[in-house]
Amino acid sequence: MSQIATTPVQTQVARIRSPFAFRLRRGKGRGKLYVGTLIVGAIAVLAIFSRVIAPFDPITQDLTSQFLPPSHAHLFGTDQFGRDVFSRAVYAASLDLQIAFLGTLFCMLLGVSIGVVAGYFGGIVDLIAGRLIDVVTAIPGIVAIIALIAALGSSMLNLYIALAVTGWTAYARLARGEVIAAKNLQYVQASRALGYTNRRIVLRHILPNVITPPLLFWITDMVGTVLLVTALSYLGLGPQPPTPEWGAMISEAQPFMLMAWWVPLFPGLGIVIAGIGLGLLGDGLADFLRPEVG
Amino acid sequence: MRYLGGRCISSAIALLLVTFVVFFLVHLIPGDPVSVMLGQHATPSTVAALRHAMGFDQPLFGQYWLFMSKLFSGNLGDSISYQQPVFGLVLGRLQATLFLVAYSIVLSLLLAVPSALIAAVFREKPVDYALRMGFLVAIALPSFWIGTLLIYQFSLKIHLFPVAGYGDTFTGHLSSLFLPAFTLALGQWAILGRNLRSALIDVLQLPYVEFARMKGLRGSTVLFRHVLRTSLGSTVTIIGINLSFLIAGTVVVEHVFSIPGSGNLLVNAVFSRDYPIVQGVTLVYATLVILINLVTDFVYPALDPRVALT
Amino acid sequence: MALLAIRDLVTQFKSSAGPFNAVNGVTLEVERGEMVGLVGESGCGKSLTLRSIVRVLPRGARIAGGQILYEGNDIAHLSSGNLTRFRGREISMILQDPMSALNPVYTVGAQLMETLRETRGLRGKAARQRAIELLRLVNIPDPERRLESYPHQLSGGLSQRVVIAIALCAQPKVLLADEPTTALDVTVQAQILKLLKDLQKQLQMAVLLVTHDLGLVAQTCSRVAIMYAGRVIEEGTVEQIFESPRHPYTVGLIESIPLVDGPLHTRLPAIPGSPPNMAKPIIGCAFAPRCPLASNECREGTIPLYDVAPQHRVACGKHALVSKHSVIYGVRANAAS
Repeated sequence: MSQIATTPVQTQVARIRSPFAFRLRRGKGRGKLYVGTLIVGAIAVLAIFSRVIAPFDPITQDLTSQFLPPSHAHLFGTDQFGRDVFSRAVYAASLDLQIAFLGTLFCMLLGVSIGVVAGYFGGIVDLIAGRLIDVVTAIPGIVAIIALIAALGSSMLNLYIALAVTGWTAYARLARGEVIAAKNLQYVQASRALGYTNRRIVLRHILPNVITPPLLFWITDMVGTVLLVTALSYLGLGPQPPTPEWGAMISEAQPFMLMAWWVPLFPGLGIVIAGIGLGLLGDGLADFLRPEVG
Repeated sequence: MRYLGGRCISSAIALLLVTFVVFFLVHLIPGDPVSVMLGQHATPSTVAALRHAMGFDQPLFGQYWLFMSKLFSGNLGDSISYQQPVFGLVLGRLQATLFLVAYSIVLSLLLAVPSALIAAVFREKPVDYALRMGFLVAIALPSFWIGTLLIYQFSLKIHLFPVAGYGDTFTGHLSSLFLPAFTLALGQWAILGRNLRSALIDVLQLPYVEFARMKGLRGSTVLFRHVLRTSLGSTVTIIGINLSFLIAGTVVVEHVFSIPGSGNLLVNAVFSRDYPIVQGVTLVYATLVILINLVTDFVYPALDPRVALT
Repeated sequence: MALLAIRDLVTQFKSSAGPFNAVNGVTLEVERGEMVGLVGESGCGKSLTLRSIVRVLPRGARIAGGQILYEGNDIAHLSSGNLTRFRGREISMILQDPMSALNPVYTVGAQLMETLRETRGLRGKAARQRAIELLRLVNIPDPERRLESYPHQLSGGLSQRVVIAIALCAQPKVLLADEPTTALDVTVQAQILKLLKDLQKQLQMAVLLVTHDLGLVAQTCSRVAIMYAGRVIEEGTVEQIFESPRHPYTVGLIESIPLVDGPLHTRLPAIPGSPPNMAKPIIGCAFAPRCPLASNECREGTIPLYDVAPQHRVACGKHALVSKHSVIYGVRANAAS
């Protein structure tokens, strides 16, 4: 306290000059972690309490107030049906983040299970898992999802299925590598010698050692999945109108862009800010958890 | 060499499995795929004819056999909406997609190499923080949104680039595809820039870079000949790994900019329930990814003599 | 005037606990054509002293004080552009691990010829010709063929020869050698050392040899500087240092050299304790906590360098009491082994 009190001017100057550099420079990703948590937390609050926070109904049309520019009443303006863009964006945050969160969660559960089993048992199981990974990674993500949705039909359940089926491979690769490393650790070998069951060794001894890289990737993966899901609905293959969804909002607003730039702008900003928040959180956590090397 | 041989074999296996996945796709369709494809107004006789043409009246294994034997003669079936062979249709549209992919790789390298160099040399300085912040933002940018904004600004407001299409000549392609390629390049810039930055930072601390300075080379020679050159190996690998991501990106961007590429063909085929096209595009894209990844495996040793000779 | 004179050099490291001086006031002179040994335990700052001279410092390190006079001009504060013209041409340096000092993606010839191009302006045939001569100079057999080799195809000894050839491209007057034999096989070590000695004589080149091996210095150098905790604590001719060491630490180092004709199985005397933590400021003599002669005045102020004989300087307040036999570390007589 006394130090701050004696040098108020310098502290001020340093902060004004580069607020970001100042926070980030505090090593070990602490700054990134703070900012990321703050952004993600704020968006999560918006998403969870969207019903309370959104001032207007996201779906009811009001053709008397089409294309109103941003104002106090309509923070982000209104769209071609007179709906409040802010309310729709807030509801969309709820939907998109839910899909991204659950979708990647399924991917992680599936991927880590396959990776652990493949890495632990090796041999033919590993070989089959490897070939599966090869096939799934060969088909570019969104192409595979589009193909699956084309066949299965467009519904929320099918979207989750398509996400899980195409998105698990990175987790499996990470988990498999970690398991192979952990398997050779002394205490794992010892528990084998003690005659513990495979299930117990995997769950009690291997999994806790293996889970960190997939968990870290999970956060990064959410950034990609938000982009993927919004792109799908932009293409018309996600949640259908009038459901408020960021990608669909942008797609619907495109024909009126010259008239009302704010309609596509704000949903996109939502995607970007969510992405930046998650990105910072993921990077910060990775730096934070990384063993100290120089 | 043994490693590369192994890679060839596993690529071939992956390709075979992809054909199976693609074949199986139509069997995921709930109900009768043929009726779904032809819609409600089809007569029973046309349904029966298409069912026979697609081999649906045979047992599953027979169908796959038929699918594969047709595939080997370059026949992926006929498009329902275009009434044309799918293979020719996809290949015809692939040109625009490949042009877009190559264009965006070039643009992203032009952006990523200088910015990674600057960030690595001025590590932990304000310019490095700014660039890293830029990478972080660029990774989070949705291509369809940024593409939309670019159309708004550069095509609708100041008419610098065409709103849509592919152009007719090479320069026409360059101009028409600039905005879409740039849109794709932004994300690639972030991925390549980040990776190249950390690769450069690793190399900058290696003894041979210190020795290159000690022996009296100019700073620029050290940076380009020694640091950048040895970091490029990882960049080639990253481009290879990201190719699948990039091709996925073209599907969206082609739709945004109405480019007559194969990605656009795919999206439209979904809405017209033209499953042979969905199958064709999926198969061609997967083949491309597998082949180009294989090519990267062969290119990498050329960049690093240690790998080439072991 | 000495060819290279270092005065009160301070090289500082940034750390999370604040800056600390890894080189803490080194004073050292190298004359034209002589070979000087710089000896000390690992972490005493001897490598960093060399790196400070050519200013190729690890990240976070910077020269914080002192002068580096080359032919009377201070090069410690030259801009990096001007310094580049010194590196290689006037002062060159070779590193501990030759395998990692060569860029793996270029051939030996390419790395020699790029150096010749930039430092001497030689290109094409002339550069190739000179490269072959240089390889011949460092006794590499079949130099024409070696030009096409990649570094990973060379043995450790060959690599170090190539590194030396590269360092000599622009005929420097000073060669800084940072433990040039430590990473090599024992049999190769002697060959490389002989090569350095031959080159020094043949080319009239000054060599500053950093090592932790005092025995090696006795074989090759004419003068020695002993470093401890970032300072040169004793400097003199090889005879002076070995016959009449005046710093207790030097005595300890000499006693720990294994004698070839000594009795087997005697435990070598070791200096008890360990070097000080450099992150904390050092008051008085850094060696005092380990020194059998230390008294209270050793733990105060800064110990100056005393001239005890021509060319012989020592940083010890008790230097008058020190001789080879007056400092006893107590282990030699112990039969505990």
